[in-house]
Amino acid sequence: MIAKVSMLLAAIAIMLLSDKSALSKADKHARIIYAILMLPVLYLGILFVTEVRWPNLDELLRYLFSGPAQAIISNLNEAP
Amino acid sequence: MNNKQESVSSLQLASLLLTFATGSSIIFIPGQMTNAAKNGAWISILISYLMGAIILAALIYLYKRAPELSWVEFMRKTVGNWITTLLLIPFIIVLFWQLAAIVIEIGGFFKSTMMKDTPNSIIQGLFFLTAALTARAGIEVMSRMFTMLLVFMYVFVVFVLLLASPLFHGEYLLPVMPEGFKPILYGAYISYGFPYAEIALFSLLLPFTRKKESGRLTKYLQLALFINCLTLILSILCTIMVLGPMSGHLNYSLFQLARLISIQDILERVESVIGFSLIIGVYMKAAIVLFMMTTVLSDWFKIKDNRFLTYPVALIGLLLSLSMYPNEITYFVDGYTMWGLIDHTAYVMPLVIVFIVALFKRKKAAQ
Repeated sequence: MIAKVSMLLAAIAIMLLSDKSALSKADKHARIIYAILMLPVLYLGILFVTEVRWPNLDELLRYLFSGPAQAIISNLNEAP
Repeated sequence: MNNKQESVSSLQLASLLLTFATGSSIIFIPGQMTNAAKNGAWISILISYLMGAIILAALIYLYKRAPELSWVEFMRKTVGNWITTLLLIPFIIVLFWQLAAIVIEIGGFFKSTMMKDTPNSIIQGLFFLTAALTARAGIEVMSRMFTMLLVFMYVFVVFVLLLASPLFHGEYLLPVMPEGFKPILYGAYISYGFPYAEIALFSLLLPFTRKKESGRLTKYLQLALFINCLTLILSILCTIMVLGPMSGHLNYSLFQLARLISIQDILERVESVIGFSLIIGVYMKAAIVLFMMTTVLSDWFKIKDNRFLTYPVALIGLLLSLSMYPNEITYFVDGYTMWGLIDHTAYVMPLVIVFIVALFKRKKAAQ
């Protein structure tokens, strides 16, 4: 867990350092969008570090598409 | 469109399309396709290629209607702000999944073949870092660099296929349809999702073409897609001719094929060459998707510099790739069952809607 936290913090720190000058020059609107993108980073960071099984994108897509996709495939796999 | 100063030639865009469509599919598709469609996998590729060629023709038609507009601006102009937003939300969500999925694939490949003890976070982290640096360098740098890497990739694959030729058994190719036509349609469903429906994403890159060269665009892009189709068919046929019925049961079958090459005890272990091709292919595809992602987000939120969002988007992609799938099997099952439907819904449907509305508006204007 310590390794994962260190990796995540290092990645965020490197990103913010690299974007420091761009962030200082950016207008308020762009900074807000940047900050909004940090919200999924925070959520996914918690999932990555703690390995809790909270909802994720794969589950959302499975929930929406798994049924219809399985129907298509079982139809195509039916014996002639 | 942001970054107006950036532009590429029609030929460079065609090379990006070939890279995007062939990059990772050349390694992953032969095994999955022969598993689904058996010896008729090449017919499946032809069917899905035709679908891809139609999607590409629609894209180019829409681009030529307003070459000065980005895809998001064109959508806004055609279907209005609200519908654009409704179409972009699933588009971006699925694009995030795809970005993560591309790198999960390479992580799985490394873990099962070359670097079994290295944690996924290191492999995938380095991939995202490299892809982010490349995407941030811009489309001009990418197109110049990828053309060279694409040549390397093709040379490696052709080299391995030539070396494997003594192992070919032509009789393995028959019967072509041992279980009827339905498995071929199943194969076409898989290859339509990966890579042909993904071509709809090129709507984001077309506006970067130099306007004076747009006349040759159709010819070059369709040629690139045709070369991709031939490459996939050739690698499927060679895989079947060497591995026979086993080819459908092995992941990374081109890699397994390369493992069998042994010429006079001098030339052995050439699978690393296919490993290079896969690494190059996945890296290029990840960089292109990351660039597309930052382009669509910047256009949607009207941010002047699309490079500004590269690192946060790459970090989201990395964390998604590390947190989404607890094991590789679930990932492969999802990828090869749902992906065709997902990218058809999220990528192709918006294109179809915009295309129909644009046609309707044109007819109305003509009247």
